[in-house]
Amino acid sequence: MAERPYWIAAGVIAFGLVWLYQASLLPQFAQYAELGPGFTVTLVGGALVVFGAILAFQIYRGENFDPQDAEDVANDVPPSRSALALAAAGAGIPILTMTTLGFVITATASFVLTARAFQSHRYVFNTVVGAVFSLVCWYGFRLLGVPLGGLLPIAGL
Amino acid sequence: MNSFYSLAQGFAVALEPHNLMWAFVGTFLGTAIGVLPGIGPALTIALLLPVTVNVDPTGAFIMFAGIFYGAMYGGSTTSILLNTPGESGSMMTALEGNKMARNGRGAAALATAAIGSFVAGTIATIGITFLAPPIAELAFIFKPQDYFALMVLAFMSVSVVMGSSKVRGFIALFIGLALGLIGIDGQTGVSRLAFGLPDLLDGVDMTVVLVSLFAVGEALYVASRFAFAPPHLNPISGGLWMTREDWKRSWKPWIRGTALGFPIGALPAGGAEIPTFLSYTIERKLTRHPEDFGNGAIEGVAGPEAANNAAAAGVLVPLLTLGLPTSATAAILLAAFQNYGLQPGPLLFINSGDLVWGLIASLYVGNIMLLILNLPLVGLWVRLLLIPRPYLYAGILIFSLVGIWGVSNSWLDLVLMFSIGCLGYVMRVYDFPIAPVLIGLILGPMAETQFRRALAIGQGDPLTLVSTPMSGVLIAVSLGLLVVPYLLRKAGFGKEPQPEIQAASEPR
Repeated sequence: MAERPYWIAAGVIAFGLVWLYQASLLPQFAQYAELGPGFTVTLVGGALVVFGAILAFQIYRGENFDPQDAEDVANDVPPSRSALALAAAGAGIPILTMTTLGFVITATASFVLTARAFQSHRYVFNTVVGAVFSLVCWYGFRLLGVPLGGLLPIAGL
Repeated sequence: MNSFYSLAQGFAVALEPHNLMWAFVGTFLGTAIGVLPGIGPALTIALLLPVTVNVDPTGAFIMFAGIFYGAMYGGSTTSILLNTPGESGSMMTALEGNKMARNGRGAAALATAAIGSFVAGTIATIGITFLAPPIAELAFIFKPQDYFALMVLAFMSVSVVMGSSKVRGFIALFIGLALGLIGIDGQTGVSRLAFGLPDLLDGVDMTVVLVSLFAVGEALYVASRFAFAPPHLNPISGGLWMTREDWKRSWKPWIRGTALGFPIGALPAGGAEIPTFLSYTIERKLTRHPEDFGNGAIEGVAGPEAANNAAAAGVLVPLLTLGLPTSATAAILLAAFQNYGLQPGPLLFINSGDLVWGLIASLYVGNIMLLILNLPLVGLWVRLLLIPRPYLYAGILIFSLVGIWGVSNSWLDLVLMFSIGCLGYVMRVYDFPIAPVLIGLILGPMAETQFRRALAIGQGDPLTLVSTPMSGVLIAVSLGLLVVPYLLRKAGFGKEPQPEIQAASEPR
């Protein structure tokens, strides 16, 4: 891969800096335990900053970043941004709808979006399959004692 | 004798009808996920964690062990019949096994893989039976600094050995450690890194991180580069049994593979890849039929498959005796123990003897079940590969949603699912290993506790951390893992720098 993903190194450093800042708000030492709750946070935040900086240097030196092998994946073709966006929408839609529309509708929407990301164009059929699958999961897991919320919370069901 | 007695008690537990049912469910699910792409034993156990909260711990762990073992069996089926290893430990099996299948000897290849897995699994379980109690007793004399050093060794080994870059391994590890710090500090009661969100006071739920990194990250990654070709199945011919010659050529590789796989599997980051590769190389050197290698040598299937299964059993030794996970799946099993309020280690053998010995006995039972499930039903397993991928991955996402939303109905968990899923995607695209994140997240809080406890006992003197022989040796080995490869490379024993890195070393 010819690109130089400095943004990853920047992200790691930013992550470390947030942890370091949070650590600065915590006591570093405590008489009764020698080390306070902030000490390890400082260590970890500092390590992230250091390794982020090393990664940035490696990227500058031309480090290779080959994608991992996986089944059903072709690494020799450019990634499809639209498929990624659809799959991400499938994973992200629960944030918007779960508390209002409930598990069944949310999971159905996720199912349809993810299936579309995997190049399935049978929208009606996928909606039916997703709805049945979600309903079976909702009911079955409720029986198993896993609470998945109401059927349609916004309507009080 | 004590082990015999405990094992007999374990069999009494494992052979109870409901535990037999859990063993069957586990081996069945395990074989299925070993065959299917996109799902591994780690993800399956992570997804099942919230579902099994109402199952008694013994039954749940018997099922998890079945999943773990079953995945190894299932992986060999796809390697042989499709040249598609279902999991990394089956890669060497594909080399010779698929050639055998193409030559009309698929049945013999499947049989030697299944029987070899059974032999290795059984011998390795005998190893666990007799090795685990003394190692667990050894752990009684461990001091906080010894535990801390042991965890440092686990951190170092997974970060250095796994993946293609040490720096990326360490970044993954520290991301896991950073996530593990969120929540109320157990020693002082101070809230850390909760950002004012009450949901974060209990820390980030492990199930959320595991499911998001594995399932959501994988679904995003495969979707973005999806290329599905219908599998070309080599027909199974020749009956499901081996000839006398096949037996003669298989039994020694089974034993040698087991002898390699079990100890290497028990090492931190030992994994299944190294013993299977070593087994293949050794069988290739020792064979009396070198002309068969590359064209379908049965030894090349028997040895690596035995090594693969023995390594899987080896992983359970440090996990059960020291509470030390040496692979991603073991880390999730440790999380499962913690979910039930149990801490693997010496006290587990005393406080939850029924569970541990029931689990060990169930490995014997599970091996027999897997042999029965895998040989006659091989045609059924292969059909699983025909599941349309859009439904497979969409189904995985719905199960992820069940796992995450079902934990605590927390909106924040859904935000974390999306964010950590995206992190998992980036890690796959830029080749960051995922196992160090899990090991850091799960072992981090324990390592911190032991670290602070050791320093408190030593009144803040950092030399306390290496004040016992055990801690000194373990820290030295950890540093050795980091330094020795570098020194060897400097001395000319390592690999040459890759030409493409050299060529690209000048900034544009």
